[in-house]
Amino acid sequence: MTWHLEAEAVARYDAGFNDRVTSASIEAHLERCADCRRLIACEDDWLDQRWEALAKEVYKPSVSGTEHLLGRIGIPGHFARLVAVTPSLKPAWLIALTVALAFAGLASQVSSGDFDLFLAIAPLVPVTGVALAYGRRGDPAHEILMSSPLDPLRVLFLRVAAVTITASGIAATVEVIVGGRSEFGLWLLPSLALVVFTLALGTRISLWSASLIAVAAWVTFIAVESSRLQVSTAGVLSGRTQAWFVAVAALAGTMLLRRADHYRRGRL
Amino acid sequence: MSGIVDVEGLSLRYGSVRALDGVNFTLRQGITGVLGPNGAGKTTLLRCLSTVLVPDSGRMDILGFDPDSLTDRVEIRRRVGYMPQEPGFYASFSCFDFLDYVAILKEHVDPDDRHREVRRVIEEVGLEEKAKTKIRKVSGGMRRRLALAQALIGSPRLLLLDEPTAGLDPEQRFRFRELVSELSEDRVVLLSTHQTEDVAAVCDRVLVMAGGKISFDGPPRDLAQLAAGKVWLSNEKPSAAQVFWRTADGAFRGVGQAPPGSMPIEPTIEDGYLLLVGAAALAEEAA
Repeated sequence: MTWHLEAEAVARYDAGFNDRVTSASIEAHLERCADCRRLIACEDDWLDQRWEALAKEVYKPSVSGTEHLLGRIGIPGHFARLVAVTPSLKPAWLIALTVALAFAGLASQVSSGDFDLFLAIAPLVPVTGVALAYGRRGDPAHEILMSSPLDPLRVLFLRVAAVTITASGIAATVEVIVGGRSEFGLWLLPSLALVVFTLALGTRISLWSASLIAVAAWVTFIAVESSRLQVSTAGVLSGRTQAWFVAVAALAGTMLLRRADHYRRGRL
Repeated sequence: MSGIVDVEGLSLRYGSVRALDGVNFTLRQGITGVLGPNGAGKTTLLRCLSTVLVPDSGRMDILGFDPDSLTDRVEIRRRVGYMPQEPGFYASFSCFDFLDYVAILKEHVDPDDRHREVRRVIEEVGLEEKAKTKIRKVSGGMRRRLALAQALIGSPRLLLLDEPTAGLDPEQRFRFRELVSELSEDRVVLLSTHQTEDVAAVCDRVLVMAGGKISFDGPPRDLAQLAAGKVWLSNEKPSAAQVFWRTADGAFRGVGQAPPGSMPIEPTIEDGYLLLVGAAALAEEAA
């Protein structure tokens, strides 16, 4: 370093009076000379804002197709990302989908009253399948999830919702293609309705309390309806009744999204 | 006791194995190392402190909160950064995307704030160049940094680092120690390791664990002093030594009850540790 900026050169540079060649020469010098850099007036706030804007452009998360799709139907970004992680863990995703579809196929074949107990606990089957598929072995970041303030149960229910919606869609598509009338895709709807209902209620009370209320509501519904209609549990869960679960899932899902702007900490 | 972390009589069993057996300690400012061989209970202890595991018995007070209470447990999780021993990642995610996901788990809902926080931790651990790289393509050292970065989201008051230098080459270990040392300026750090060099390099206090119990609690120099007068060099295999090994210049370094006439040498932390933990630790060091 053989020269430094003189006061006059600094003043002209600050005011923008130099020609381009002189400015380039000064800037080349400034890059290497911390002493001269200190002489140049700097608006820290402006610089911070520009730097922040630049960093935002360079470092930003990529948005998957699933997240984009969820965003289009009004689901907030953080929520969409939590859901979109579910299919990205492919082995767990395939296992959970298989369990859900196998359950739906089995349940659609059961029409005898001998299986009342099985049908009464039926909505728990997809939940259990997802919990096992996305456990310690299925989710590489399981330990990080378990040490996070966001209730792991909430993440589980979001994953159940993602799996049951997809499995219902697959089942419905298959039925349309083969022209079947077993309506086995509908057998996932109680599980979906209860999970979305629990998530929606869980934005107001603790998720554990919401889960207990959902289970109690389910058991009451089964008991009251089978007594009123004088039919078995399988009769209660016939295709026509399943329409109610679509309504419950849609209503609870709407409530959940309407609460999107009011999510309290830990109650996403 | 009124430290940042108070632990009293902590016990936990895995079947017939007693992983923690009445552990007591108080954690204050600075970096505390938990040293011990594999199976000593280090990871179990950190999992209990991070609230991932619930102990069978004992009491913990973490940053003034009681992990037995559901609401307190959430408050603890908001204030504790935990780097697991084998942190799993989503290999198809970029480093930024993975940290963004963890930030959501840590309740950073607003996208601008969240992305700013992710950029902050990326900068803090020096991961800028790999931020957009898929995790499957980054080196083991960078993955360790990523694991540390996720623990730093939310500026936790207490950092729990489980074997943070395991599997790193000497240069990466040096850089990691430097980083942990910087982080401890405004945080309390508890790091578990079976590397005595880590403890000597960065810790101002060390807990030695063996068989689920704490067998030493004090500054590293005191651990070294446990072996004062019990370390010597000889040209022949020292049969009286509790543990011994051949050094690079061909002499045998013995640790234990020094035989008459031997010349004691200055002990290191490793000597004190070996004296406490014995041959199991030596076998592990060799591995």
